[in-house]
Amino acid sequence: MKSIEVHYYAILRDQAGRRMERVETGAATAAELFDELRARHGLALSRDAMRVAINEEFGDWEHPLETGDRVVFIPPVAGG
Amino acid sequence: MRGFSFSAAPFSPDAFRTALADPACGGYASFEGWVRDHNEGRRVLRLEYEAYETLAIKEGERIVAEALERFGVRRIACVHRTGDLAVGELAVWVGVAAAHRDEAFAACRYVIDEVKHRVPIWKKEHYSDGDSGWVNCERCATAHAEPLELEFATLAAARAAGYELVDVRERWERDADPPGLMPGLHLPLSEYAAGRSELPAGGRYLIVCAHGVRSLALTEELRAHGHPAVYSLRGGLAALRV
Repeated sequence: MKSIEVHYYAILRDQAGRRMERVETGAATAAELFDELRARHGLALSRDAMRVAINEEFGDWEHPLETGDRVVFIPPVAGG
Repeated sequence: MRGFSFSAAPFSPDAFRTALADPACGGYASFEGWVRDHNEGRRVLRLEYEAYETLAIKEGERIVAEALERFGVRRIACVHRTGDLAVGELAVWVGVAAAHRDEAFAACRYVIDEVKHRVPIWKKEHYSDGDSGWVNCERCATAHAEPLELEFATLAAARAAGYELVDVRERWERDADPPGLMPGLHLPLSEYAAGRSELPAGGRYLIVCAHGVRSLALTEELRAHGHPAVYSLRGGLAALRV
């Protein structure tokens, strides 16, 4: 098990009902972590619509997670 | 001066524009994005912008660096608002100073287009009918997400799978059917539509009607209003094997 810090923004914050949480997980990758949290919180977005950031930089869904990683799921953006 | 920054309060571009002044520049182009009172046919009353600022600033700075390099302009600044904005307020400003106007226009256009598509900023619109939505997110939330409909052979199977049943048939329809057939909640569609009944938040619900049409419409409606774990029984009660 590893300890991951997850931050939620915008529509995901509304759906998860929280800004952040520390998750104890067996998920090997960001993709597995998202699928786990999606089921837990009933998140109504799928990965193909989103990007992921790991430790304050855009990352790959298949990137292996390590304890202490800070993960942010990024729903479709709408600046401007 | 930073190339890309956020402002949590209303700002005037004047100070940022002045900071772009450069004796080698003969042209200055700028873009201002304002809050519009409508979007996709709906009347917008106000907006909220939210950003993942750490990464947004990194990505914004990368865009500015790309534009400087690609168009050979001298100076660029971009400021984006966060927080609550009223109609007409300045949401984003881009300023570019260059030796000549062509590259100033091109770089300005590049920056605003890339910022819109790449920087982690989200916009929530509040509409005149009291509804609200995250722009670019609500549609993909319904299009790519969980299936709206589920199939079960029996209502017992649905309950065993952890769903609380919600019968949305009208009272007279239930009276015509043996009562006790369906444990769970009763939320007649007409009463929901009239605002007289609501579903408790946070549940995992299977919405049920006679043929699966009204339950599907209500499921879409509930998904858009804070009930992510709501499903419709495909085909309704008529499709059950009983």
